Amino acid sequence: MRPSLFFIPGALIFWGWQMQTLWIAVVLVLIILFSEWSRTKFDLSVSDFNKFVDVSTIILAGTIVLALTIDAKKAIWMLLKWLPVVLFPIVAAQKFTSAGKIDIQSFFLTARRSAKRPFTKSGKKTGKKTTGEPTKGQIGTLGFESKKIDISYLYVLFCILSSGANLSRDYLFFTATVFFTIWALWHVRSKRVSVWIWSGFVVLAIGSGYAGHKAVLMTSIKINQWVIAHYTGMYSNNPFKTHTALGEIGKLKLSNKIVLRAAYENYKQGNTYLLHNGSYNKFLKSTWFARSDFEPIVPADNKTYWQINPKINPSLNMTLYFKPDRKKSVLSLPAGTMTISNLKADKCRKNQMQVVRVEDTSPIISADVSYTEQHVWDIQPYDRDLLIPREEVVTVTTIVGGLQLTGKTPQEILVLVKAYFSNQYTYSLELQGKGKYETPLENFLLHAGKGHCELFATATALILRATGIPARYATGFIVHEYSDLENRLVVRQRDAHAWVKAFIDGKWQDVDTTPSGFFDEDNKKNPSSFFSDLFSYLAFVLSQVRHETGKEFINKYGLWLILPLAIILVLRLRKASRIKRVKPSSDPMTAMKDQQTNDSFYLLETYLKKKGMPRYAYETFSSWLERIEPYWLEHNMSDELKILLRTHNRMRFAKAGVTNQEKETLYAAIEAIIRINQIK
Amino acid sequence: MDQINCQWAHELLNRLSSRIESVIKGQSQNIKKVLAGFAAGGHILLEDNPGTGKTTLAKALAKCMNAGFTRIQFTPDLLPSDILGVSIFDPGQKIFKLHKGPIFTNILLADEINRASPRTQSALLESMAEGQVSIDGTVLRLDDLFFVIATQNPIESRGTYPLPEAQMDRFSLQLKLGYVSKEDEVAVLSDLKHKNPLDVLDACVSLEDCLRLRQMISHVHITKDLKRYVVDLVGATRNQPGILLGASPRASIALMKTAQALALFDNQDFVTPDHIQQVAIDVIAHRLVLDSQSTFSGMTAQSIIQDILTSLLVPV
Repeated sequence: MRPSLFFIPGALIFWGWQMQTLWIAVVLVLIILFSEWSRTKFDLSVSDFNKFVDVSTIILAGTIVLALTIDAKKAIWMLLKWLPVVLFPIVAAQKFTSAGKIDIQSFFLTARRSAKRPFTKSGKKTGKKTTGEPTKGQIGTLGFESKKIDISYLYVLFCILSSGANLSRDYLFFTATVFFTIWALWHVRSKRVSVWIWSGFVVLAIGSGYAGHKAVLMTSIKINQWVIAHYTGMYSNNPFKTHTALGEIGKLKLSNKIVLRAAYENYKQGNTYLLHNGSYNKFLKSTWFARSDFEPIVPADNKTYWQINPKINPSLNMTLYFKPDRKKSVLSLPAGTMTISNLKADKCRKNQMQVVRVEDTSPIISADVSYTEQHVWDIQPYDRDLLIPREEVVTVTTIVGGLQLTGKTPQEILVLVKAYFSNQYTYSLELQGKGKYETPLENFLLHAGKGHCELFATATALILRATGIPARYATGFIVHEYSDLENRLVVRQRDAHAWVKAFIDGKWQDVDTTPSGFFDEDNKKNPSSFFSDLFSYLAFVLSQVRHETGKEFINKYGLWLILPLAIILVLRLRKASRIKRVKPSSDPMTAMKDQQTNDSFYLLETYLKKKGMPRYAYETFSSWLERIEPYWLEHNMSDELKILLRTHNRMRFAKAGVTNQEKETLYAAIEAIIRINQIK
Repeated sequence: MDQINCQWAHELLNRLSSRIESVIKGQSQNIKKVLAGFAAGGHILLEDNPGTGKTTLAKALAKCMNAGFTRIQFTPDLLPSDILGVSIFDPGQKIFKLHKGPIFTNILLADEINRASPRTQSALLESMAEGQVSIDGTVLRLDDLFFVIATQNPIESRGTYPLPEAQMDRFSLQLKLGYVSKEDEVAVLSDLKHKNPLDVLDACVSLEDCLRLRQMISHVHITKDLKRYVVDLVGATRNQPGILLGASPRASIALMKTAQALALFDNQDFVTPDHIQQVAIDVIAHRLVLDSQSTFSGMTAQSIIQDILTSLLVPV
């Protein structure tokens, strides 16, 4: 059963309207309508269809290339949007054939191959038979895989799918989908079931479809929220956070994922570097707070060169590679950073404690950083840098008193404090929290005696402040691991570190009191594996190719990629001109049908078809009537029909035929049977 | 063909079938097909398990006709000369004298044909196709009415040789009798109470009648589109995947003729598509050779023909 004339045009117009490409839709619709109204049809064999499918495939490939070239991020939407155009050659081919259907073989290369196989196997070189003249009474090429389908439904499905790409939030799309679905189903519904029952089920299906879609939406929102809540709880991956609680870095230490790569200009084996990420100077309730007074930096060189601080000599260089997690991220930079080049970003800001953050960067960053060891530009110390929170005062003064630090020079104090921490405390990744004491710091300093870098740094900062040295808490990464594989330094998540910046001799200096060799401890706890590193490296290289080298290539030569496709297209179509044009009535079967549609039994056939009891093309009248007998005939009527069928057969197959009178009697009898049934 | 002739043939065939049905219960469809095959001038191969009535059917058919009948029991040591005949030197007259074999008859029952070696089986090739026999370089014509009805056990049985394809092609129909319903089987037992019904069966058709019937077949009308349908059906087996060897044009001829004979059964002097569909499987299936892949995937020649039947547009 074929859907009505306006089924595909309707879907196309809807698509054109939704995608604002109405004029294209109108052109396509005109072609479809022309095929319906024109008497010219073409005799397309399976191999011809293969060509049309190939054309569509090539257009699809071309569209993908174009979409990726124009805007890789929206490629999938573009593809979806143009799907009806991509598939149009196939549907048009179907519309212009005499058969009106397409062999399913055409869509699958494997099916095409297996269709050829039996002939070559048996040694008969008759591959031509699949494509050659179709025999008159034959429904397509015979074969188990061979099946003819009407792709109109599929095409309309794609049109609707494509219309969905414009993502309107109203109910129009759902309504249209429902409308076209009903339209499609209307033609294939079982005529034995009453329209009302059918409609009831359709309404039920629409209702449950709508409810199901709502449920899925709600679930996905819930899952999203849950995932976000879970992850933000676990990692401090909010790049613009201006505070850090004790224990946050400790959590990061549990992963050995490579997050950063760094290449230093004059690296010597064994060197370690600190990459500064954030500085905090206010400590309250086990949390460090920072200043958020960010000021924009003026870009140069098409937003790839950023002057963070004035240049002074001598300068050092390093390159930083990483994939920013989001559109915005905080850079991990050496202290004393002066300029950053090759960093494509929309905005770059820094605060007075030299925290640099960027927005809308390219998906992968490989920035060249120029820095100096002579100077840092952090804001001069002020009252906040000497503040000790009330709840920690007792703990800190106990330690300061015990070490007898009062009255000593800052240099002496530093040495004492460092020695104190490395002798009296051990490094441990067990996050102990405050235990049964007031604060985690008290637990660490006075009772547990072991902890991780955050506690060491915090304790040091507060002890230094108690002796009158301004101190800040700094976070970032410690860079120590050289990768032979990548030939540069790699920084893992567990290399996240905290240390102290102390203002000594009129200059901010990095003070790290965490017992040395703690990264061996980290490594023991979370051993890195060669394979995960290898994959990480490959993924990094791949994304570099994709976002840097590849993008450049596509931008320059992307359109040329269509050229080979065009060549293939031309080659495939070279033989297409051999398609035969057929006159509408040249098919003997249809001609026969035309001449006989007014005949009695064909009348009955049409009538019963409407009642939902169609005759299959392979059934003779007698086997058909026998099959449907239980559904509509009474027994005496069945006998009567058998006699009438004999007359019909005589008229149709006997040499002598029947007289006009017999013909009329037959006609009247059939009409009577139909009328009786209609009354029932 | 006029109405009287048609009526005559119809009655003759019905008389024969009711006679045979009195012996073989519950096989009216198969009897009809056997008679159609006989009337169409073809040969019949009955294949089924032992004891399903193959030989009885063949004998009943032979007994109904007033014609020469011989039976050859095929055994593994049977030789071609045992069937065709042999020249033997007559010492008295000092010449070779031809002793005609059992093949010189009207109705030949080749019982358990697949028990003999293919060499012996092939002795029938010439006679079945052309109605003649060559012995020692002499061509001898067989009787005008020469009809072979062979029986065989399924080829999977022990001690059997499958018939060569060429030999299979000579048979216009292969029928499987199958087991009858329980009621019919009870009726068979009841009939045996007095006497074997086969013994009381007497001839009801003369040799001339048989020949006349055979001549009438060719006058049954078949339209061009039905001929085309026959050719499409048979031709489709040659393109069908899974088949190594399709059916020959001989199959088309046999299918058309058998359908014509069936038309006479229905008292019609024209063929309808129903007649063709009725015997299509029996006429075509045994001629096909399936490839191993389709055999292993559970396909049979019958199921393939059924597939073809349901994929062809039938003229109505």
